[in-house]
Amino acid sequence: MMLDSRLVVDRGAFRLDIALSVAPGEVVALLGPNGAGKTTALRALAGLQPMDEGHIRLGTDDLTALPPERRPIGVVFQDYLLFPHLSALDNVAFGPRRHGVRRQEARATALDWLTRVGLADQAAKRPRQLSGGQAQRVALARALAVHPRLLLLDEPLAALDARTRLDTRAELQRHLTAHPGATVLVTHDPLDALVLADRLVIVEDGRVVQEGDAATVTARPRTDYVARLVGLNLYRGRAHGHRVTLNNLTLSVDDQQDGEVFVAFRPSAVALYAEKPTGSPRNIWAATIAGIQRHGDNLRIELAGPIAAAADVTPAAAAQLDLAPGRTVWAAVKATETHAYPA
Amino acid sequence: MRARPVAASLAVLGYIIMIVPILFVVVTAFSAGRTLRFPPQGFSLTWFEAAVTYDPFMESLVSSLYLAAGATVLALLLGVPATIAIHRGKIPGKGLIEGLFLSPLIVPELVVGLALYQQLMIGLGLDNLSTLLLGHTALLLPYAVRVTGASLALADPAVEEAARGLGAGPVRAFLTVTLPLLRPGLFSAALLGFVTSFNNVPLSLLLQDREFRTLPVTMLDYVQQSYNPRIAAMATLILAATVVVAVIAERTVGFARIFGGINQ
Repeated sequence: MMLDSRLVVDRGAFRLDIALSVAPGEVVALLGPNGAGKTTALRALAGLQPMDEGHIRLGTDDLTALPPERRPIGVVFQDYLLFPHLSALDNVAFGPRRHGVRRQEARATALDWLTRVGLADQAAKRPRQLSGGQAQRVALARALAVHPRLLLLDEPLAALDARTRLDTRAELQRHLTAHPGATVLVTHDPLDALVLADRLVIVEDGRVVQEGDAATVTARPRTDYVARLVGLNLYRGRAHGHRVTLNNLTLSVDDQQDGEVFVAFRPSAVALYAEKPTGSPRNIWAATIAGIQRHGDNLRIELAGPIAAAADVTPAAAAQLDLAPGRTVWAAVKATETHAYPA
Repeated sequence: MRARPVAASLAVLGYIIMIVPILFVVVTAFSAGRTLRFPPQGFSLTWFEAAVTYDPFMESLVSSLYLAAGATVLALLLGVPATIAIHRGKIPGKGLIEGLFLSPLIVPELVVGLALYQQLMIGLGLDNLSTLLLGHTALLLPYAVRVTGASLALADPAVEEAARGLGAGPVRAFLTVTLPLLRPGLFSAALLGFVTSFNNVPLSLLLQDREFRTLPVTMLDYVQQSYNPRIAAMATLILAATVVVAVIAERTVGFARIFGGINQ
């Protein structure tokens, strides 16, 4: 009962074209910047967005031409879209009712689901009387109550404040783990994706740019967007053995590669000096400070120069070096701190 | 709250202008005298009895109620699908179409009446009841379109998508989700439409005949011929009925929601 799909939506200026497969019980996160087409892809899976090409197969069933109401799906929308005129209980019972379950039975099922999300005592409340976190859980219960073979979640935590988000994320993870069907989760929050998903599919500008499990994606980013998400400096260049030629700079790297490669290193691996350091085998270049920001306990220094890079230094070091925007410093990275992998 | 003497005085003045003439009519209705005069001479309920036993009033009251109910139902049947098409459909020139539906509010009713008289009664030979029904329907369309449109605009169309995703077909999704959200709008449109039709004089005056007259026209005729408290008693009865309807409306839906629909 595997989801196998290719989703193509052509809007002239924007074209979505992604292939997406999800195994039963697997949670796949579509992660990408705003406007990448994640939500369009989700709506296409739900049948709410007509496709120009492609197919959607779930096991042996072809869903491509089916209207949303005939697809075995459950959808949790970004702003939940609970029915404002129905109680929480009747919101959850709505799906089973439409699937031909009698009223009493549908309500019993609904109460069961509300109990599972810990909201049995809120069953009689209208959506506007619920808090954001409660509404999110009702929306999840409503989507799960139809026993969907494909569960679709669109930014399920985006509307919550930071504290509620933490609790709700943990609870959501529990329910997603228990869900036997395939799950597709759309998010622009890397933390949601890392915590909730088994596999990440990075979507940029309507295309899949990278996919894989969290460890691979975070260790070997393939686009600037992913590198920024996981906080790495990322460059593309040509490798000859232990040397990688970028546009204006050649780096020594630990990994031996040949051909087109990515080189990544952490901002904390970049050391800054007032005078050009000598001696140790490092990559050294002159850089201009473009900006300084707080980053946790440290300062993140944005460097311009032959390559744009971020460097993390302690406030003490920054004070000692008298760092200020516009100043020229020497940046150094040890070869052992870099990571090179084929592009 | 800051005291606002000017605004408060204006508000009080507004209330006085609205309510005092009505009070005069109500008080006069309880007169024991034979003419409309203030202060009334004595106190009695005889003019109420005279009003409810006066056949032209009662017959035209029934006519008016039929007409108002019929026109309201017709206007909703035409106007609600139209407003759904305007708000949810992908049709070009939505603003223009909505504007056309609102035009009966602006076009002088005598012009509408004359057009209907010429085209429907003379041209097509319709009887005056049908013509009046069509005329009033046209008159009420702006309320059906605008007021239900206002509640439709408040209802998120995406909620219907949520219903689709849970197994409801398009018709089912409309009936179970959108229609309940429209209920206050439908209720207010019906109420406003009914009252507008019931109170209408210009169209009814132009399209009346001896067989079919509305209550306002009959009362107008009456007041031109006889100047006694029977007319005040009838007016008071209508006022009382209106208050009852208003109270029921307030208890069931709430005025804020009914009339809020107009401005939003």
